[in-house]
Amino acid sequence: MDFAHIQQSWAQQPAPAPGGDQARIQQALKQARVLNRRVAMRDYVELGTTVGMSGAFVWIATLAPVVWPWVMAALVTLGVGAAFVRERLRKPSAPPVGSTVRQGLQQALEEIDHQVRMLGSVGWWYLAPLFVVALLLCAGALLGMKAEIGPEVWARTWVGFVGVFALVIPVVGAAFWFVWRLNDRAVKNTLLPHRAQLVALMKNLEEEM
Amino acid sequence: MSDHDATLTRWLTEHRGILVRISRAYAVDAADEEDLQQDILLALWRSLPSFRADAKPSTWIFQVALNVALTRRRAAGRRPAHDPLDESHEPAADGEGAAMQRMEWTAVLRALRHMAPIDRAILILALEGASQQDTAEILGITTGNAGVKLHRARRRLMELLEA
Repeated sequence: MDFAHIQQSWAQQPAPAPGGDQARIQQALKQARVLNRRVAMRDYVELGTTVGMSGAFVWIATLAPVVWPWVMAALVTLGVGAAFVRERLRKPSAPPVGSTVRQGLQQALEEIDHQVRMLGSVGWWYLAPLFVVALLLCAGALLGMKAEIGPEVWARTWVGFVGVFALVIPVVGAAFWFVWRLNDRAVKNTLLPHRAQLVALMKNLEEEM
Repeated sequence: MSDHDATLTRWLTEHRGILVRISRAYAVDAADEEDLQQDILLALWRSLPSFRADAKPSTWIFQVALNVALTRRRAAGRRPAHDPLDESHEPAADGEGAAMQRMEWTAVLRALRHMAPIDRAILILALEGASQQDTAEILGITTGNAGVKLHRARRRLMELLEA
C-alpha cells in the first residue's frame, strides 16, 4: 500500500451529515454556561463569606472585652479573600484565536501550572490562615471569659475552659486536613499526570530530528 | 439563525469530515468520540468571532480541532467501552468494494492510534492533503522539522500497516 492509496482510504471514511451540529453546539454552550455560572457563584460565595466574616469579627471586636484576637481574625480572613482574588486574577487568559498547536499546548501548560500552584498551595493561603482564625476565635472567647469572670474565678476554672477548646481545635484541624488531602489528591492524580502528558507532547513537537 | 451560526454551519458542511476523522483518530471509544466532537464544535463556535478573514476555514478547523484533541486530558490506562472501529458509523455498506474500503480505512485508523499523538497529528494533516508548509503553520514548527517528522511518521505508519 503506498501513501497515495492510504490517503484515498482515509478519505473514504463515512462522516455523518452535519444536521445536528447547531443543536450540539447549543447543548455544549448551555453546559459551559451552567459550569461558568457555578464557578462564578462559588467565587462570589467564597468572597462574600470572607468579607461577611471579617465584618462580623470587627463587629464582635467592638463589643468584646478583649479586642485584639477579633481584629486579628478579621484581618487574616480578609487576607484569605485577597489571596483568593489574586489567584483568580493570575489565571492565564484564553489562547489567541487561530493559535498554533504549539501555542495551544503552551497555554494548556500554563493553565495546568496555575491550577497546580493554586490547589497545591491551598494549605498555605487558605486552610492554614483559616486555622489561625479558628485559634484566634478560641483565644478571643477565652480571654473574653477571663475578663468577664475575673482573675480569681478564672484561676479555678481555666483548665475546664481551655480543655473544651482543646477538643474543638483537633476537630477543626481534621476537617481542614481532609480538605487539603482532597486538593492534594486532585493535583497528584489528575493535574500532574495531565501536565506530564502535555510536557511530553511539547517535547515531541519541539524535537528536531 | 445568526450570521455567526450560518457561517459555522456552512463551513462545517464543507469540512465536517475533518472534524469527524480527527475525533475518530484521538478518541478511545464511541462515547469519547462524541465528547471530543462536542468539545471541538464548542471551541470552533467560540473562536469564530475572531476568525481572520485572510485565513482558510479548513486550516482554522485543523488548528482548533487538533488543539482540543491534543490538550484534553487522556485517562491513563482507560480501556475503551467498545472499539468504535468495530461498529459502522453509517448504515451498513453493501458490496465487496465498500467492505474493502471500510477494512482499509479501519486499518489506517488502528495504525494511527498506535502512534504518538504529535506524529498522529502530522499524519492526519498529510492524509488530509495539507502541504508541508500548512502543517508547519498549524503546528507552529519549522517547515524543515515538519518534513522530517512527516518522513518518520510515514515510515512508522507503513511499518504498522505491514505488521
